[in-house]
Amino acid sequence: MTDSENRPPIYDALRHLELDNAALRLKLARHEFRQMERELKAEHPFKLDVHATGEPVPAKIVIPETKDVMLPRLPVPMGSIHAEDTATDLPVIGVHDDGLTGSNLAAALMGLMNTQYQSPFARLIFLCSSFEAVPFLGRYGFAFEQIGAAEPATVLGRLNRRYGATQIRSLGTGAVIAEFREP
Amino acid sequence: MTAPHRWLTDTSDPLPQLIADHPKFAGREELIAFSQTAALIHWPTIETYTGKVSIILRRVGREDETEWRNHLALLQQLLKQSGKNIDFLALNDDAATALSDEMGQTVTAMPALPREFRGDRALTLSRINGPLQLVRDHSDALPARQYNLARLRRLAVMETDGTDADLADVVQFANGVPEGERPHPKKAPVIFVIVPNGFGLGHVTRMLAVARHLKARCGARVIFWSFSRGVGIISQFGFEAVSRQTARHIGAEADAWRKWETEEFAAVLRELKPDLVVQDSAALEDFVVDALARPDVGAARLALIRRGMWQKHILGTNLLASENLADMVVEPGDLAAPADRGITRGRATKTTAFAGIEVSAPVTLTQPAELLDRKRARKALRLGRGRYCLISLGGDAFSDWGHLVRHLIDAAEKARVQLVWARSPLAAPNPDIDGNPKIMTRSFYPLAPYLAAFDGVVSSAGYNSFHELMQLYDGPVLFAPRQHSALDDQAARARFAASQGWAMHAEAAQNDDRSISSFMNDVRASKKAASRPQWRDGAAEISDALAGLIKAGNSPL
Repeated sequence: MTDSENRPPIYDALRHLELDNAALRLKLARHEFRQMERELKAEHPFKLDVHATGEPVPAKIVIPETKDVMLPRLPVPMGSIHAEDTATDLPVIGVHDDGLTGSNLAAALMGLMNTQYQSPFARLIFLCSSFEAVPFLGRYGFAFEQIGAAEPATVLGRLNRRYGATQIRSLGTGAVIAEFREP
Repeated sequence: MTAPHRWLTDTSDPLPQLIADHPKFAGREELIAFSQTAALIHWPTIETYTGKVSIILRRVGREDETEWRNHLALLQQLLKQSGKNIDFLALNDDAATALSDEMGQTVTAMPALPREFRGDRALTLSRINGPLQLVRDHSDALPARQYNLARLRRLAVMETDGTDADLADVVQFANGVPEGERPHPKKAPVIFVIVPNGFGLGHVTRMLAVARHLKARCGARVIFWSFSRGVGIISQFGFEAVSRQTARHIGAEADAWRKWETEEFAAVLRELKPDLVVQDSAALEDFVVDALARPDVGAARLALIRRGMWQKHILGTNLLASENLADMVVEPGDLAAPADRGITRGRATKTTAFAGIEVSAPVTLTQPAELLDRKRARKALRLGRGRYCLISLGGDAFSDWGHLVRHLIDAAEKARVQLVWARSPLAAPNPDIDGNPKIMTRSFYPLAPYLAAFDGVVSSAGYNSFHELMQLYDGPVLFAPRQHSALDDQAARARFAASQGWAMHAEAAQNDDRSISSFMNDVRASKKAASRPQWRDGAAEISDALAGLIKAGNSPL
C-alpha cells in the first residue's frame, strides 16, 4: 500500500483546497497588481477634485517617539499585490516619498511596486510628505505614516519601536537615508 | 494611567490628573512622589535623584490605619538613614496639620487649585467597594478610571461618601477654591476631531461641516485624527490632519493596536493640550477614553456626535454605554427620524452620566450660498447641453446595484438622458463603469455644489447625500438605499422620503423597471419636486453647542 492509499480522504480534500487557495491568492495578487498599474499610469494619478474654499493645510503634526518599551511591535502588511499577507522573514523598511507628487510620484511608486511584485524584498512602510497617495496606498493594503516636512531620518526611532523598521530608503533613488542602530 | 517620568505614583491614584492641572506644579522638573506608599515603592529612585524631591503625604485611604501608620514610620526611617532633603506636602491645611503631627516634621499644604465649576451639579466619588467609582442615584456606579478628574472638576462639584479621609482630601483639592472672576484666556481653542474609517466619507463630511463653523465662529484650531483615507480632503478644506491606520488596515491584533493608539494619541494630547475632543461615530473609541484619562494630557472636554437611524437588528445597550463617558452627546437631526427603528431612537429624552442627549437640525457640509448655478456647475464638470442624470451609489455599489444600473442605462437611452457616474474620490477607477460608453464618469467632492448641473439624481440614502438632496436640490431623486449591516437604515430613510412625496425609492430586489422609466421621464422633462424640507443649519447648531461646552458647561442646543 502506498502512502496516499493510507491517508484518509479528507487529507487529500484539504490538500486540494490548500492548493486551490494558493492559486487563487496568486491570481488575486496578479489582478491587484494590474489594477494598480492602471491607476499609476493614469493621466492624473492621485487627483482629487475637491470644491473647497479653504487653503490646503499640509501635514504638520509628527507623532513623537514613545518611551514605553512594553508596547508590542505592530505587523507590516505586504499589500494586496502579494499573495502572502505577512512575510515576517523580510526586513521592515521605511520608504520616503522624497516629496514627489503627481505623475513623478506615480512613476517612482511603479518602479518600486514592480520590483516588490516580482521579487518581494522587504515589508514596506511608506513615509508620506503629503496626503496625496494615502487613498491609493490604503486601497492596496500598505502601511503608511504621514511625516509632513519632517526629516525622514528623525522618525526611524519611532518606526523601529512600532514596526521594527531597520532603515529608511528614498523612493526615487533607493538610496539609504537612515539606518537604525541600537542606542 | 501612565504618568510623566518624574512622577512616582500608583496607577490607580487619581491625584496626578489634578496635579497636572495645577498651575504651580504642571511642567515642573522636580521628582514628585504622590503618596508615602509610592515613595516607599520607588525609594531607590528617590535616593539616587540629584534634583529637588517632593513627597505628597496622604491621610488614611483604602489601607487600614495600622498599615498607613507603618508606611509613614518606614518612610521616616529611610529618610533618617539617607539624610535626603525632601519637601513634604499635603492636600490641604487640615491634612498638613494632621500629617505634621504624625511625622514630627513640617508638612506644607499645597496651594489650592482655582475653582473651575460654578454650577450646582454634583458628582459623588466613592471607594467603598474598592476601586474609585462615580456613584449615581438611579443607575449603576461607573468606574472612575475612565475619567480624568481634571475634566470632571470642570463638570461638577465633587463629593464623597465620607468613608475615606484621603478621598475627601482629593475631592476637596479637586473642587478648588473660588477666586475672583478670572478673565477668560483669549486663546483660540484647540479641538481634536476623531473620524473613524467609515464606508464612505460620511463621518468626514459631517465633521468638516461642524469644523468649518468652529473655525469661523470661534477661531478654533481644529485638528482631525483621521482613520479615513479621505484625509487629503480634510487638508484641502483647510484643516490639519493626522492620518492613522486601523488595526484592520495593517492586520494588527486589536489589543496591540489599541495600546499604540492610546500611547500616541496621548503623546499628541500632551503636546497640544486641546480644549475639546469630539468623535463622530456610534461609540467612543477605547483609545480616546484611555488617552484622555492619562494624568498629563490636559483636561479636554469630550463630546460624541452620533447619528441616529441605526438598523433595527442592532440591539443591546453595550454600544450606547459610551454616552456615559462623554460630556455631551449630540445627534445630528434626521429628516426621516419618524421612521427611525434603531436603538438610539428616543435617547434624546435620556440623561447620561453628565449630560443630556441633544438633537440638532440636519447637518450638511454645503450651504445654500455655495450652490453653483446650472451654467457654472456644468462648466466645472465639463458637461455640455442636454439632459444629465447623476448616479451616486457609493464606492463599490456597482456590484450591489448591477441590475438597477442596467435598467437605468436602458431607461436613460430611451429618454435621451446622459448618465453621469459619481466615482467616490476614495475609489479606484472601475473598469465596469469607465469602459461603458453609455456612462460618463466624474469624481468630485462634495457633490452638492454641483447638483444644479443635473436634471435628476439616483443616489444611495446615506445621511449626507440624503440631507443634501432633500434640502438643497429640487429635481427628481430616486433613492437606491444600501443595506450593509454596518451602515445606517438607508431603506427606512428612502421609504420615508417616498412616503412624503420627496423622492422615489428603488428596492434592491426590484425587477419592475416601470418606476425607473417613470423617473427617467421626469428627468427628461426636468421636473421639479413639489415640496421638500427647508434647509436648516445643523452644523452651526452643533458647533455652537461645542463652543459652549468649551467655555462653561453644557450649552443646550
